[in-house]
Amino acid sequence: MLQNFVPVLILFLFAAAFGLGVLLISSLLGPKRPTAAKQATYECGMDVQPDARRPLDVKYYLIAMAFLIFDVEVIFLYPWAVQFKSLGLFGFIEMLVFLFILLVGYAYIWKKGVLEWE
Amino acid sequence: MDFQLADLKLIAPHIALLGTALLVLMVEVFGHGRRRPEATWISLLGIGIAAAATGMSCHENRLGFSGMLAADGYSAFCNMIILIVGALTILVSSNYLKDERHEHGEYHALILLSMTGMMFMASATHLLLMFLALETMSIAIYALAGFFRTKEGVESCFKYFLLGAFSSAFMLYGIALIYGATGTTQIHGIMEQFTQIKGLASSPMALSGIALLIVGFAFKVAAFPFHGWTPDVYQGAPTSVTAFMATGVKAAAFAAFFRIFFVAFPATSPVWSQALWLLAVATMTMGNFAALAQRDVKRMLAYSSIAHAGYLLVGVVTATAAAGTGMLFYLLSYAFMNIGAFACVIMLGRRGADSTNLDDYAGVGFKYPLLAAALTLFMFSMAGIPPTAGFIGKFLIFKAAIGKEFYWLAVIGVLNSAASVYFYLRVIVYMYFRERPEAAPEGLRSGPAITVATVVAAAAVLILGLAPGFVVRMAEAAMSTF
Amino acid sequence: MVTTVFFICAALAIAGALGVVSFRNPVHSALAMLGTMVSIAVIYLLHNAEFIFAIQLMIYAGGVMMLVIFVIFLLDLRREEEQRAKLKSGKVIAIGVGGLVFLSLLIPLAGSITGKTGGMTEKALERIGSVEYLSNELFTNYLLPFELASVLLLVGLVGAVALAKKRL
Repeated sequence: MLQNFVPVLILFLFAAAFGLGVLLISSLLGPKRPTAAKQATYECGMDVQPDARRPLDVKYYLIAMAFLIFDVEVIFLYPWAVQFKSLGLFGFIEMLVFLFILLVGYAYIWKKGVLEWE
Repeated sequence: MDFQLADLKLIAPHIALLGTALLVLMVEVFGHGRRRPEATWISLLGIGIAAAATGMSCHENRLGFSGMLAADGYSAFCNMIILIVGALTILVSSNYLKDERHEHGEYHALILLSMTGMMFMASATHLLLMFLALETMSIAIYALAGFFRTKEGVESCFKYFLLGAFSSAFMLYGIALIYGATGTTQIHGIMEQFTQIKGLASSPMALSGIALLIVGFAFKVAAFPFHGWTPDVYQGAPTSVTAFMATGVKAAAFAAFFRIFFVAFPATSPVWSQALWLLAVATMTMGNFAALAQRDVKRMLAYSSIAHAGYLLVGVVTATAAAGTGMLFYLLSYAFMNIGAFACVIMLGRRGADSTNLDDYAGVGFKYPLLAAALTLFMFSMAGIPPTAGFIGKFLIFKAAIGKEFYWLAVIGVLNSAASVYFYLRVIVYMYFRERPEAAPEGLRSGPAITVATVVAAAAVLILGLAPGFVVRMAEAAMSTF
Repeated sequence: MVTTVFFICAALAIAGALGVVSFRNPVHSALAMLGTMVSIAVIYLLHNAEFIFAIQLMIYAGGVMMLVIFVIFLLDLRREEEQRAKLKSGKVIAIGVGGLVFLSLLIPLAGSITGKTGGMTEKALERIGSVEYLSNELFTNYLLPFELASVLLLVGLVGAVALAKKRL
């Protein structure tokens, strides 16, 4: 059983080695002339919050919640896709009902303007 | 595969509610204009359809969806209680929401969705379905508790959410342990395993699972010592939501509690009935004595709701068909009297100030005689004074307890009801025997919908108290097809 | 072989968990948490739970960790590193209670294994893969809980909007 996952392990090792290797090489070869702007967390101009113990803007949580809910939706699609053929039309309709209920939720948040960063 | 299209008929009421909730959401975002009173009418219509579907399926008596849920008289009766609770809540909320400037379709959608969860809880015969339904119900109610976004409301929402998440985790671990011990989560299957495997009834794993299930349910019904959240949450939430929580959640949780323990765990009943015996006594005593000290009516009603959970637990401890009948009757009458009482509380409040202190009730009796009469009736019913529904409910439950020789439990219950008369009557004393202060605000927060709800609740409390025969027979029939 | 992998992953998971609470830099804590989650995913795999393995990677290591790191990057970390936490008596009590809870969760498992299993036995898994087995169960016998899950997700969505949207 586990033998099936050896390729996954190899891929994982390659990915980890690549990521670490790039970091290592750039720290060895790259010139270091730090400035305040370069040291900022986002080098693209987004200012960080000065204090971590302050509540974060609530709109972040709304987006996070919507993201997680549709992320969870996807995990149900995965086993369904694996057995799509043997589940047949019945499984298809079942998934349509499932998706429809969440689609209503999606239409709702869209029209509500939740997806806009106001 | 084990699915037939005929199974869909068993969940017709649930589908009707869910469809209505989706419709309300869509009307909320695609409808035009700022004020949208449609949500109320659509919701009531949906509840009506669900009630009709329940009525049509009440003669069914079978399991559906591979043993996931039972359509029997018991679930039909519980569904009816939940639908009544929902309809009354929506009627009570209509004016309240408008007055507080929170007339949003989300409110109705959340009520309908949580009712869907409640109805699935009442008919679930599978622990997983029950758990999902419980979460659906709870999460909707967490959001409703903070719907007004006042300081107290948000506090109530957050407290309920954190503690509720804890209790859900306990319950889930209990379900996992029971699955580990019996290899199934279907309640009839669990019962069979207990009869087949020798020594399972005394295995620590099975017993811990049962204990953790008790913790989860005790939290949801607000039983001692898992009641700590109740006063703050009930006080901080919008009053209409408090009414919904106190009646709907209790009905659904007790329905599932009774079904699971009655069907799945009769083999271990000597053990858990002792634990629940203690819980019941502690819950009613603690609830009543804490309520004695309250000067805030909403908080007093919160403690009273704990005490009522104690009386209802007596029904679960007894776990006979007679006790089930009593419990069903009690849940129904509690729905009417509690929502009625909260409707009166809403009418006496003003925008942004609920004025639920006892002093705000001084002199109400002569200023608003009809409202005071209704509130008096509800208080009598909660105290269990004849001829009201509350009296019959308590009578049925204590009679069942005596029938199974739980004498002390019945005696303690009766003593508790006697003690509770003090704080219920205190509201009446304030209404009729105290002068109304000069500065008291004028006018009631009333409207046609809330008046209808109050009148219906008052009439039901009286009818169930004077002529309970019909409903008691219905509850008995419901228990006979369990 | 399986046992060796298990012990390596278990040790990594515990080390990661300790790292989460003891690193000064929140980014390091987040990375330690990622390590814990991946190690736990491998432990799921060792128990033939391929589906849970995939979910653990997708939802926790993917979705949840991304949200956590996003928040951490919005904060100024240098200040955070200067703060020092003291070990107060409250914390000592909390550690004691936490330990007791941990022990009490272990007790029901000790010595009372009945040997009952559900349908997902090793034999069944040999015949048909774990994801296939789960899929067949989920979309037939567990049809109702599956559909109810979408209602639960919808409730979460509507509830979040009702609580947190600026103007409803």
